[in-house]
Amino acid sequence: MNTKLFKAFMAVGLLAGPSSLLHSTDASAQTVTAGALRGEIKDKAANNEGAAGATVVATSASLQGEQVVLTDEKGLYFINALPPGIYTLTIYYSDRTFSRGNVQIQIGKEVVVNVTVDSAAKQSGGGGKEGKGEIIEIQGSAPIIDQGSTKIGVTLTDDYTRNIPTARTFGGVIGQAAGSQGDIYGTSIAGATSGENTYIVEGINTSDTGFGGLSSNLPNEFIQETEVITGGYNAEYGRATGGIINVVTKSGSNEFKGSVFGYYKPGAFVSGAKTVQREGGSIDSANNLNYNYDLGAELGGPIIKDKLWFHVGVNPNVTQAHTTRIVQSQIDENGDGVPDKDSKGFTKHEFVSRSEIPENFKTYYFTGKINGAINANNQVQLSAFGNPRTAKDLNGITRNPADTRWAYDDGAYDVSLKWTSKFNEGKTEVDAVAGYHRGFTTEKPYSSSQNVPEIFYNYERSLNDFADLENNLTNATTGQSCADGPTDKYAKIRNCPVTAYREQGLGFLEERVNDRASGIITLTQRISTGAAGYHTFKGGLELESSTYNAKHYYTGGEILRRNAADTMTTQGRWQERTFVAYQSTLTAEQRMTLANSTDPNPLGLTNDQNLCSAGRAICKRAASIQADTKNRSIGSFLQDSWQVLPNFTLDLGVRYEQQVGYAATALQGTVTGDGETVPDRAFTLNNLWSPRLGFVYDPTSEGKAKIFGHWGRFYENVPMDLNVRAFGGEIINFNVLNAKRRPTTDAMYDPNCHVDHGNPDLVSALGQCNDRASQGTAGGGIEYISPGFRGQYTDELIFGTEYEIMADMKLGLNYIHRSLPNVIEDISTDGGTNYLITNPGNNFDGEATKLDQQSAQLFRDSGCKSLDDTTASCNLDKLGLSALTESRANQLRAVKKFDKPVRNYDAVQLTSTLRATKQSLILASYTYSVSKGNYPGLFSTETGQNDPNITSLYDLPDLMANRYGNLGLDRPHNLKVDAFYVFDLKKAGLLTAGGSFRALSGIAHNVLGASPHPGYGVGESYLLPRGAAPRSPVTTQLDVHLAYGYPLSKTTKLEAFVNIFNLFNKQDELNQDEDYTNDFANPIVGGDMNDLKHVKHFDDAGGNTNTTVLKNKNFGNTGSSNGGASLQAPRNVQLGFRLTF
Amino acid sequence: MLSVLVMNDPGLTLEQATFCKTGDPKRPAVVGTPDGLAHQICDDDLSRPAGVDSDVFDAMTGLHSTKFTAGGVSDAIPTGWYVRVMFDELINPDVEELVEVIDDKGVPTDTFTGHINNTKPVVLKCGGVDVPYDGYYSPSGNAVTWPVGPSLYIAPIDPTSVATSASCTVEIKPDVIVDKDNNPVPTDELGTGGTYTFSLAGLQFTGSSPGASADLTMPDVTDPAAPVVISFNGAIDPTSLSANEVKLETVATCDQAGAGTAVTPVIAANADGDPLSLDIADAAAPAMKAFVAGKTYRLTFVDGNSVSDIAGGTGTIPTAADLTICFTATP
Repeated sequence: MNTKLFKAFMAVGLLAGPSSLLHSTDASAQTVTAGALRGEIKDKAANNEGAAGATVVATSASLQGEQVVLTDEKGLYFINALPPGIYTLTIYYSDRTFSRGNVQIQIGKEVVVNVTVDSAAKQSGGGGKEGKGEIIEIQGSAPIIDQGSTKIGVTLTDDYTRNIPTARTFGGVIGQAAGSQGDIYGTSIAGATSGENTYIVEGINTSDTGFGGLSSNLPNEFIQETEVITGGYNAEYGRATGGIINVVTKSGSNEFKGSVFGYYKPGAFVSGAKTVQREGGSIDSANNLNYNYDLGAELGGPIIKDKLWFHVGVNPNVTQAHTTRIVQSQIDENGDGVPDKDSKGFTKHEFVSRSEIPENFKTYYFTGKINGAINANNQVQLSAFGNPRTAKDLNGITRNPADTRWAYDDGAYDVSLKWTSKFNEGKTEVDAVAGYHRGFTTEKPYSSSQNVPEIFYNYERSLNDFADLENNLTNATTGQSCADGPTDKYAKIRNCPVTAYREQGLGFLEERVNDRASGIITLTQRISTGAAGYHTFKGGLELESSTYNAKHYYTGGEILRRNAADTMTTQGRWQERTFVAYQSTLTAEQRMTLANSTDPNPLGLTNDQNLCSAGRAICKRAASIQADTKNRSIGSFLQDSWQVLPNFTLDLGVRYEQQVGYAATALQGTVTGDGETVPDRAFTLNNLWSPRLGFVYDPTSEGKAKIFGHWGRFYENVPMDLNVRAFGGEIINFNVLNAKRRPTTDAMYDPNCHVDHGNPDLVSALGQCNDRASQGTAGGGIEYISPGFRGQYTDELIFGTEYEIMADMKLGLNYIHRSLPNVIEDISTDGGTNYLITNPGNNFDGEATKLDQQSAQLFRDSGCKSLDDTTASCNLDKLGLSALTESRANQLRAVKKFDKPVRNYDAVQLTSTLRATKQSLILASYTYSVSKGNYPGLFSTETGQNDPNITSLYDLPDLMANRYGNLGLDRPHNLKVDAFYVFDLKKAGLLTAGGSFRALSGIAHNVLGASPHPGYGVGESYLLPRGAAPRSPVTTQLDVHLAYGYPLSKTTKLEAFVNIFNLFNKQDELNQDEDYTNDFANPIVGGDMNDLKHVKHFDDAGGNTNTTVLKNKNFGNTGSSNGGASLQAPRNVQLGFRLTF
Repeated sequence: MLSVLVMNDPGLTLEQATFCKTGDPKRPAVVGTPDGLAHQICDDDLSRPAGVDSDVFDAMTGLHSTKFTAGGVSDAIPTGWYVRVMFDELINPDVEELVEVIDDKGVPTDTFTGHINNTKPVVLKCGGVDVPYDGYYSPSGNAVTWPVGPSLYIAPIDPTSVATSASCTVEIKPDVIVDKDNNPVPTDELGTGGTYTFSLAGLQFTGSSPGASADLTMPDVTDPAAPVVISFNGAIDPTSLSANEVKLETVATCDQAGAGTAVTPVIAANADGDPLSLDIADAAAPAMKAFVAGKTYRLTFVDGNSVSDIAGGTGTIPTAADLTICFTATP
């Protein structure tokens, strides 16, 4: 390794460290928007010696001008920075001209093309023909195998998206990659959650700054190539512990080319969706499409030939759908008081009523791009694109019919500017990319009447209780009704039970803007070292500045949840959840009053006030939390592709990253209730060193095979949700209302506390309820970061081989192992009173000892004589800080007691690729994998909680029990086959048949209960070890594509096509209801189904009882506990046309 | 067997270990409790048996340290005590019988309560006498959950039948408590002499209504029909407090010691049925009244006497220096 170059690049990175203005975040901007070509020119007349000094010229419709290089003394050549496309090589040697066409260049790939010319032959050379002054054409195709790197994955071109039935956007087709699968927020790669992927479009990082994952998206017609890298990537890529999706949009050319296209998916061509029946409930639903259509056009061409090209595109996409909300009644024909079941064990129902809930979505995709060539060695590109969307969407069905919808606007806008210069006969290349990404989401009530507190009944009751909200609970034809009572036909049962019914309001909503400004500069230098081979050094510096500005609020300012019904002996209680903000720190006098008084409210707090900061401050209800946060980060890398031998390459690299997260702007410099001043910088992740080692060996020496291996470390880019939620001032207060459940005969009975649905002024009454008790607060506005905490990273080991079994076709076999040795999560060591962000399972005893000493020093500085000293000479603020520091030391000591994170992914992949030609394509893969551990990734695969690095996964030690097992993305068998073939009907046109087949194991399911800790609840308690319940079945799906194209002219073709998705209308289960109970219960460590019936529940105040939990009647049935789809989408047909010119 | 805990919290929330298995890292240490605090069950030092950690703060250096005191539970709540036996693995759940809960309409609720009064997995003795008990099996929990688990919850059917201050033992029946492979609890984990020991708190005065007068010049104002209620931490035997042990006087002002007129007290079981309390009234009060309206009373106890619970446990009553109750029955 060239140590001077290494030091130079690393120095730049280090200088821009914590004390520099150049630090930034998410430094994933990449310059890999092109491919490379290398090979050897041999002269047959010189016994196949290398043809030194030959001129190699690469030309393509994708390339402005041409790229010219000379072969070296060994006849070797190398051309970098080639836009993807089909190239022709023209070789000038010994007064002769040779041509080799059909060389396909793909982004991020290095193709080896060796050409043998014959400087002596008069008539032929290399199989071609020669005449005086003519070009000798050499036939052949470029090898399909990338000899330049150890990357694994797939590259998808226009041929794929045109002829294979796929989703409409690049974000929808990346699931083609071997081993990938859908998760509830996107596409999972190699066992990681989708938020761990990095999405690069036109060289800039377009991933969501808030949560990771997909933000910018474009229709396939605008895309030149999509490279899905699932592993083995070198140091130029970083900030991802999943995969890299590298997308290049189409460019113009010297000819005007484009297309007009349209897609239409009528609802009439969609098979009826199975109703997902929910046991124990009376409201079911089915989602139905009315129609989806999009119409678009894209055009590219020259502004100045060979100098300035343009490409533009626009594609509005409209979807109209509806959800059928069905109310059904249980029946009890035999009058035994137990609802009747059918032969499959499902509760029988009688139809009561239905209603339709319309939904509509409009997305406006657009792209624009300018490519300019100052000359062959200096090129510039400006690109802008976006995907803004407006939506009127379903919010939920188990709620007031007037509140089932909500509205939101979201999407993204991007601008990218790229400059490429070459020097030194192409051996030196400088690339610079500057970009700006804006993602946004504005959630809002569908109507102003929804902007009221959400009222939520967290227990089973009769839907008829809400007859005033439900318009039709009696079937006019059959008379079947939800009303219970003595005249009821089924008097012994509750006709229409409903759990978790929401009476009004939408609960939590967010308005956010996520910006990222990024810049990257790279230098590539190819160096010959004689006998030691060739080095291609590449170094780069990446800078990013990201923001996440968020407004969080509850509609109406609060959520009111009733936890239980009145019974013969007890009254139901309410929980009031509100955002609060620091109002004041307690004075010394107030602290004394608080410490010495037995009065339940010694400070005279009003109902919108509460104690916070462990009783050191007063917080007051806040209508919303506004958190404007930013991150800065830097990344630098140096890598060397060392071609030791023509057929053996070592890929060596190292990457340095740093991430600095800032507290919300409004909080910086303020004093917390704990007496601390909020720093500007919330956290700094330093010294994120990522080594990468790999090798590629070509046993054929012709680029037709490779054996490769790779080991690398990949640090996570910590999404900024952590800034907003942990350093944005968020404090949620929980109060229990009707805490003492005073009987009506009690002199202190407060009727405002003992209210239920039907009270015309329920919210106001609860607001005045004086029988309230604090359940505590979640979040402290600013969370504590454990000193010495480290970045989250994945280690990866890959071994593989590829072999070209025939022209354009290769087979591959890979083994992949990924682990996750270190995670960042928030934890609490004191039952949820205080949290710190740390590396669970690591030992921080050394840091704890330092805090002990700081605490002691603060105490000495306080001048206090004891911990309860109240004399005037005692500085209570310093005394408080001393106590706080001591408590943090104790927390740090407990971090090591948390389970170490585990996420082990082991996979064997078999792949087969027939490169897309004009006539056919095959992409097939089979992956066998095992994914086990206790940590799924950046979101909870069970509850759907998407709070990267601050999920509830590690919050409390008792939440960790039973979490080890088959993870939520563990699907052992994953088969994918995509293919198309074009039948040339000559003058009658072209007929294309394409298909896509998928077979995928179901996931192992869990047995979940509710955690007894306030603020957690349903789905957080693993009653049995992870994955203890049976898996969902293997699902299969066949999609087909049929197209007929007719050439209107030599360059114009009109094509009509039909895509049939899920041809056999398989609507098998994808997910299950994993909530065994909604009651509070602790896990049965290592338990099995036989133990379940003995599980006891806690009461709603956390006290243990001798009553078993009430089993969720829907447990184990098709459904969803995490918000994901329950069933495969039904068969649907898409019609379309495409006019290309 | 990892630990045995006994309820000794007057708030009936926290349990304290009376046995901790030494040398086993799976035994409970710090757990988060429902009140949002952390609670130390067994010491972090695995070599230590059950005991209590207390924080020692050195004001000179500002440093904290921990002081450990070995010992089992000696202050179980007489009226609410129970025993929780925590295991290091799941046991055969057949130790528990489940009985379905029927609601007030006679409809099964699909929930069950657990019982061990028939399977009798332990021998519970207090003062050497078998104590009838019931309880349940909780398979949930581990060393960091609250409550810890898996565990057997063992509660006397009538805790007041056991005398305060009584020494109690729990003995595991190896033929009833077995793991899922039918292995019994290892003999070396069965406690000293095969039993786990603890004792109940002594009988203690816990309060009165009206309460102790903070200012003897400002008597409380009470309803003449309301007796003075004296409360204890155990089921009090009203006959154990005789009239001559109670000094009840009518006074002009309570702060004038000895200046009152003695009246005869009447001591009876609490009229509201609280077994932990007894009532004291003026024998001269009119019918349906406890005291003569308009009069101011001073009540103290004669020093050096004791009271008993209904099971025979004894305890002292407050001295006049500790408790003087002064009140005026409203006219």
